[in-house]
Amino acid sequence: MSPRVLRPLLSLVPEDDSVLLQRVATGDVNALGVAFDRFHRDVYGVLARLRGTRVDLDDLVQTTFLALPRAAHNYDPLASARSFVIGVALQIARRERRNLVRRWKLWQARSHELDAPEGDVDPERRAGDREDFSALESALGGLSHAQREVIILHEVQGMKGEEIAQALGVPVNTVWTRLHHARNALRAALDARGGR
Amino acid sequence: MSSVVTSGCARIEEVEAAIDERLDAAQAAEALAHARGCAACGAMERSLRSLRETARSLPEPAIDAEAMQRVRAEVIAGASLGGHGRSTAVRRALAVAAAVTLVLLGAAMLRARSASPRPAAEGIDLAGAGTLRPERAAVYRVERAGSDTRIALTEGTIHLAVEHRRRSERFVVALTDAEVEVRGTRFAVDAHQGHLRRVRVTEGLVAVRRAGQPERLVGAGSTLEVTEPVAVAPAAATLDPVEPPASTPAAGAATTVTAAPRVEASRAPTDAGATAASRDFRAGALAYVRGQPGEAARALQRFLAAATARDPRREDARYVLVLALDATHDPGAERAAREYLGEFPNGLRRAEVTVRLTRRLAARGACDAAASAALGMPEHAEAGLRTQVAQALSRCAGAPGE
Repeated sequence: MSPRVLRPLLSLVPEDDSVLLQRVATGDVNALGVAFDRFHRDVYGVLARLRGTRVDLDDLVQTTFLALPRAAHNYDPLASARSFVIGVALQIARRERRNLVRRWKLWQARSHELDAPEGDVDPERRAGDREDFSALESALGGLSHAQREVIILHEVQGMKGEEIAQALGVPVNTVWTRLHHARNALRAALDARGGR
Repeated sequence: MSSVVTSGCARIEEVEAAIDERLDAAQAAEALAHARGCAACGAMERSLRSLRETARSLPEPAIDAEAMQRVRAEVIAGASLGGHGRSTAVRRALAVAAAVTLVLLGAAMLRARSASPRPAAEGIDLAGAGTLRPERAAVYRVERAGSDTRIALTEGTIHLAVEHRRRSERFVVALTDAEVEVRGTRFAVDAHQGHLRRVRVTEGLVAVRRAGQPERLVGAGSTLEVTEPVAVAPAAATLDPVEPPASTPAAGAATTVTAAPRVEASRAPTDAGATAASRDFRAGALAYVRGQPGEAARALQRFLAAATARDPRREDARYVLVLALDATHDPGAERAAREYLGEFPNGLRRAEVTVRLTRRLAARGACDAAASAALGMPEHAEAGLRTQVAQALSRCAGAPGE
């Protein structure tokens, strides 16, 4: 394929995802609509699995796509557009998670009665308890946030190492290391559950 | 998924690399051939493949197509208001709404700053309730609910000319430690860091209620000066200073703009009450974090009914109550949002709460009320939140009859 960067940027119906994102970066609202149609399922799927709860999920999807025109200025046309959009969603999710953790710690500090075991738990792990997840999904809820990210992106969404590195903004070797540790943790969790 | 993989072979990580397609074809084939003859590597390969198979066969999270269409529409509207892009028909149509919105959003803030000279006689029309003229650097917010008007004043001086009010209509200037109520008059209120400093009345009569002190009436030509602030915890001024707080969440058609009155600050809580409140707070917090907003709302409402005015958890509880009710599409979210803003006029979450309130009002077509609520948006609020308010209003502005 000829280099994507040489393709006309302003074709009326962008077939190519990278052209699409470049048009989103110019503030093209129609292109943003097309990007929403193409990527919202991926974004929704990743966020739903990462967070283990659907509360406020619509808001996160909306925030992701509202942030996209500005974020797309940093998009490298040779990279995967899907990974890029998922990367934006992950940043939004991390910001939301930081707020959640902060709120959780505040609650802990202010509530005299919280018993230690519950107080120490990552709120997202608790969120994972809610629905009837499969053994794998429940075990995912026990991983750290960073480990859960790589497992979901690689094993569930089928993204390649380079794409994940791009979405997370980390070197690809970091992705493989995280993945390795995440798998070990997952195996240990599944063993502890008796392979349910 | 089978497991029991221990590092029994030096080449075990090669197998993982092969499965992850990190090796070239020849290396991968060689590593996998090795795995067939090596117990540890074979177990690793089976474990990895099993994990992948299980992971790829997880059902797609159910997605509400209708909700996503709404989200899409909001994204398009929000991006159209975002200020950069092409002049598509959609953009042009929304530009009008955006202009209206920005005026609405900016009016109170610009006037509050009042950096540019304005004619002294010019005032902000309070939609039939009267006019408001802020002095330079005054910081305040206007809230309206039905025929009631509430102005939360944090800093500086505002001059008010209030039309005569019927008994059922209320006009209150609220500060953290006092409230000033009128039925029809001209007067000015001066505040510093949320505390009342001075009330000067030109015409008519106003009632000044400072926290923990009896009501004082100030008549035309008189000025009430506050020399030292009252030593009561920041108490939300309320539109209903008479009734004690209900012990259960009030239901129904109250028109109150603000929180339940916090007049019980001096009442010492009983141990039993404190314990029950803590339990409810904890239950509410846990339920929300677990993704059970309905349960969270019930527990937090119990907490708020039982907790004292000084309880430092009240702000969190009020905020999360708004989120929880909003998540369950409970119409009470609107009231909860007003209660948060009323009780914590300078609360940390007022931007987020204002977004939710504006959206709710706009969604049910109460465009004037939505515009009023939007005026409460803190001027330093994040751009994303401001956009959300703007787009909620733009939907109203674009609706027929508006």
